Amino acid sequence: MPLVACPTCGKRAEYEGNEFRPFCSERCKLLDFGAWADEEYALPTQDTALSEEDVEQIERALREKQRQA
Amino acid sequence: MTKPKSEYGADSITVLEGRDAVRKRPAMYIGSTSEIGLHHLVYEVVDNSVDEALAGFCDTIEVTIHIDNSITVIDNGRGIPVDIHKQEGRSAAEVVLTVLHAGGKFDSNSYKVSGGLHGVGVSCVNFLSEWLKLEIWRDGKTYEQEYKVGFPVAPLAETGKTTKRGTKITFRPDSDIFETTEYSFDKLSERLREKAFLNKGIRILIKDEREMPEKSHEFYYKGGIAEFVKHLNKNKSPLHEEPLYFEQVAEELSVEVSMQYNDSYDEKIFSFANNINTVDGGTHLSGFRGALTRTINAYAESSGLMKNSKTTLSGDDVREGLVAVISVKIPQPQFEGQTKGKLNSPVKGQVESFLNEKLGEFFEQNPNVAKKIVGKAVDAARAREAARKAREIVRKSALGTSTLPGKLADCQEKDPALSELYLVEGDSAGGCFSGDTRVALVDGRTLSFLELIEEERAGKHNYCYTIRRNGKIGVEKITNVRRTKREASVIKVVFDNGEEVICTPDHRFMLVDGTYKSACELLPTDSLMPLNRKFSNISEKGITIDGYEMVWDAKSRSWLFTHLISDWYNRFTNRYLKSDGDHCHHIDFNKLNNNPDNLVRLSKEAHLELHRRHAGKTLHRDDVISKCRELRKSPEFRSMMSSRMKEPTTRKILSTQAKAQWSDASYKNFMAARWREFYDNNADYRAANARQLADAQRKYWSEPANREKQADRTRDFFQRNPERKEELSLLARRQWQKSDLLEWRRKTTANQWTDEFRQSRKEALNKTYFRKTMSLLKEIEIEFGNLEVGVFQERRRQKNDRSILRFDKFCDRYFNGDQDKVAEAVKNYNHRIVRIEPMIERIDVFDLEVPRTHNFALASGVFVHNSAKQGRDRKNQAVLPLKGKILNVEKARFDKMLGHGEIKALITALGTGIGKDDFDLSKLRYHKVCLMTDADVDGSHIRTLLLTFFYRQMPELLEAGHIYIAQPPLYKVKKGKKEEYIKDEPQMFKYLMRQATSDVQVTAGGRSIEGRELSKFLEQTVEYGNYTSRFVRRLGNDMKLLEAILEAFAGRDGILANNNFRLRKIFQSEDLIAVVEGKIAEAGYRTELLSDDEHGLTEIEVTMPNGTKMVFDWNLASYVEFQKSVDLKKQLDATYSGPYVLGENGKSESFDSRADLFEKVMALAKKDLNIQRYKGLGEMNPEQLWETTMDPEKRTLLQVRIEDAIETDEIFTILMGDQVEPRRKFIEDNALDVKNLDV
Repeated sequence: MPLVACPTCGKRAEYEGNEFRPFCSERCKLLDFGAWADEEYALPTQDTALSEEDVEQIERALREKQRQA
Repeated sequence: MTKPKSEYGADSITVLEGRDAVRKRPAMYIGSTSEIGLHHLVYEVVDNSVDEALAGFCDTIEVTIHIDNSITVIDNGRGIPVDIHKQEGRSAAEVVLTVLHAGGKFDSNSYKVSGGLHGVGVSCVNFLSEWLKLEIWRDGKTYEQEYKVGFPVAPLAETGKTTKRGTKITFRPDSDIFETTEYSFDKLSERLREKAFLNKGIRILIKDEREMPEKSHEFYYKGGIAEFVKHLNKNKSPLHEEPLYFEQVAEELSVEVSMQYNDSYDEKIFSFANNINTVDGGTHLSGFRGALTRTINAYAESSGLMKNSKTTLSGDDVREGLVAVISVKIPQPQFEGQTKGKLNSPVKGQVESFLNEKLGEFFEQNPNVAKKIVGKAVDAARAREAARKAREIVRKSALGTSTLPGKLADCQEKDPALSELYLVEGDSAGGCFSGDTRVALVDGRTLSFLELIEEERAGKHNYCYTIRRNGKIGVEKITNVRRTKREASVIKVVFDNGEEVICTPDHRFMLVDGTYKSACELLPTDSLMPLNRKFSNISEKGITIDGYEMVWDAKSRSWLFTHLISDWYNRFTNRYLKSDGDHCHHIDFNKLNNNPDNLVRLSKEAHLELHRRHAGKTLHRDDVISKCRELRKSPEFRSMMSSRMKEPTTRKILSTQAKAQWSDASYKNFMAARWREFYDNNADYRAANARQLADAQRKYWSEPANREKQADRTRDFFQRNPERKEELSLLARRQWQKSDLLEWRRKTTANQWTDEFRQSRKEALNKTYFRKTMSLLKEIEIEFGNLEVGVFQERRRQKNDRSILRFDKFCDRYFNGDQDKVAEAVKNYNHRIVRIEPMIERIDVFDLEVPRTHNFALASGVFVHNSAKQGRDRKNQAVLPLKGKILNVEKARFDKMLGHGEIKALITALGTGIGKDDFDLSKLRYHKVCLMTDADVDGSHIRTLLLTFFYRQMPELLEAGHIYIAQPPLYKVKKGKKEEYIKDEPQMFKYLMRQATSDVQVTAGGRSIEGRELSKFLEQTVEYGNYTSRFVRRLGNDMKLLEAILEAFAGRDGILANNNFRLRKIFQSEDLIAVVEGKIAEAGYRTELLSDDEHGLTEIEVTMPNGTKMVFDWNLASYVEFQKSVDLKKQLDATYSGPYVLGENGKSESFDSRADLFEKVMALAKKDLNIQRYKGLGEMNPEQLWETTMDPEKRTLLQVRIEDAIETDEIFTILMGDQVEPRRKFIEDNALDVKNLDV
């Protein structure tokens, strides 16, 4: 498996053979666990209509992402 | 450095003997005879030179390792004094080399500060050397002396002249003393480098002659310990570029501190006192640590960086990744401990306050660096806290299975390989009751759950009252009574009939409309489905049998005999034979035991015969006889009493007494007050009174003359107030003047009012009318004890709610005008709760199952849900309900997350533990962990959260393939009696296509299209519609413009119809793009060709009808939506040309556009279908859930691969990230669903 982005700090980290995968370090993994335990991860539930501009902006971002991939 | 105060002369040397002592116990003086002690000899000599440097007389020290591992140390100081020592009668130099603890350092006048690890002096080196040669350059002369094993071979002698200044000592460690005499260049270098760092400005050279070519280093650091810190950090990534450096020089205490953080988690702090490495720290280090912790905490607090943290930053937190050197210089330092590695001088306070000030100042002036440093400490604290939480969870889960989460409905299977865990979104589906909660049984008893368990174990079948799916009351068998949870938290629900129930807060109660509500959400205004029972009374109308149990049926609003319901149950379950006869008999002769098992059917003859034979068991039972006797007694007694009271003499006496009393005014007042009191406190009396009044009122209004009078009054009002009349009529007229409004209204109404609509509206209204009217009647009944029709009419007028019906109308519509029946229905309408009390005590709770209907009545008179049946196979399927917690972050936004408790429950249920040291895959309790969530945004959120959690904190589960996604169907389609479940949107579309194409004929341009081709044609049509509708937004939603453009590109005569150009080519060629421009112009737009310099292409500027200009260029054309639209149009136009004819049942209809054709086909497909879209798992009953989603024979489980999880994590990261709000929304609306459907 290729490198993955460490969910906490974003650093590229080896996946295979990494004790703290997908994190780069024990620290980052712990911080993530702390965030779960402290209920810091929340996803927005209410959807409102998007403006044209918003859609443009997002699609640009996504295209950018695709190109990088 | 401080200036020398006095000359360094022989008289300042104190003499002590000790060569033999040193050689006998060398370790006491130099630490050891190992490599460390060996190297120490060099440092001891060098330290002498450093002292000279500190005193300001020397700036270069040279160390050489010779090939025989002898060492030479040369400095350019003043040279050791050579004059003759007064007491000893020897040269001062000789004293220094032969007397322990000699040397300038013993006299605080000589040097302000001085080092030397153990302060033993160079004499030690001499004593432990095989030989030592001393050369002194002083006052233009050279002096030499040689020693053997510590003894001078001859006195110090002047040997020549020189221009140099300084001391040279060469020695060879004694191999009799040392375990090794081999020097390490690197070790010496390291330590000498340290000395150079600590004493900025001193140049230290080291040379190793043992190797060819010679190795050498030169250490010279202007920056002092700041450079030391940099050096220590050289292979690390520093958090901030420059080390912090603070210095204070003073007579009593000089402090020098330098520090720099790197991104590692270790701390590396060196502390020195007078150049001595205090390996065990001491007061100076404590001061440093204290100041660091204090200042960083203070900054974190004031800058708001600690906002989200619940703990303060500990010393460990603030020192994580810290590299620091602290060096103090004090006169006469005090050390402590065997190796004297700890400073004991009282400097803590001074060091601390100095640093508090300096560090605080630095943070104020360098907020960026401060933020980085404090941020790192905050991270450290959070990690520490997280690790603690992880340990806490593990510790709890390690206590054994008895601490499994209360919400977990575990399976019986103990082998993880065979066990499955379903993570279900939503409320706990397993509400339960306390063990002493009583259930109403149809055999006339009420039993507690505990008793039911006993009886079930003994093999007895018990039956409960239940509300059947059609809303009628029925009976049903009780199965699987059991304890469901230990130590559950419970609440007490108190009802208006005084009964109480203790149950889990999530237990669901049935409302009168057949829906359910959790106990904790019940309000006093909720109408609960009631269980009402009574005994039949032969005096009532239509009742021919006495003393039989009857039960209220909310559906028919009437009393039904329980034994007839049980009888019906027996018929329904085919317990009777046709030949059994029509008479229903209670086997045990107890007419109150209506247990279906207690009923048989007999012929009339057999039944009568049976009862004749067993009269002793029924009418002639002793208790029956005695009861009758009692009854006979009382009327006689009563008539006797009443006749006595009626005798004329008694009455006369009473009457005169009363008259006398009433003539007294105070008595009259007193009585009036008493009456008032009585009236106020006696609801029954008031009710009777009110009834009389109401009757009178009714009577009044039933007189036509009275009603006439009221009508006159109204008429009179408007006559006297014509302006009011005018006003009202004007208003009405004005409102209805607008013709378009009228027209629109007429049309909408006409369209709306189909027969179907009318029917459903009528039903809905009837329900509302009934509910609202009933509620008000019930309210009055509760208040007055019976139905006060007058009060009702009055309240109805006050409320001005038109869905509350007039009483008579209500009677007519729902009760055939029978007021008694209304009163009965009101009385039995509902139960309500009075209050809910939380219970502190945790108790074991119980539940039972009711097949088919899934509800049962408690003895307290309410119906509750039987929730245990979850559509799972309890043998090997466990269920853990997880509830997304709603968090109100801002006014208009709600966030969903997994609460702390949910995470804990999840980890505990899985059994693996969590974290580096505790996670153990082999302890996983279920080898299949299935995520089962609703098919809506919330469901996908929960799934995203869970998958992300697994990926991040338990990737091992994913790697081993233990995580699955269950696939509940999205649709149920019913055609006639056939039901089918459909997994998702694409499947639904396929299904509809199959339906649509099975019995229609379609021709396009005269060609008949059938079967698979027809499906594909329609699919492509939809696809085309989707792409164009997406793309048209970019053209200001101008469909006409889009059509013109697409026609130009891909129409039958379009540029691409006969050429295989690539799209970009059209923008390259001015001729080709001109064709497009022409088509747009044809459609009625003003256009102009412009050059697209950015791409070296040509573009079209179009003036939109509203005057704005837009550019159609390669950039727009490169959108996928456009290219797909072009491709599809080209293909569709080429293969299927219009007109499109649809034939069905011999009729045919023609369409110009493919979209219209598609609409019609879809309408036909849906015509006979009843499509139900499941929004949540809760909409499926347990059987359906089992059948579609959990039955291993039929279900499809999708195994989640690590790649899927990585993708989910990316989505999650974007959702969580600091990106702009719209992006979150977009992904929520689009990417999330699409992606997740794929996994």
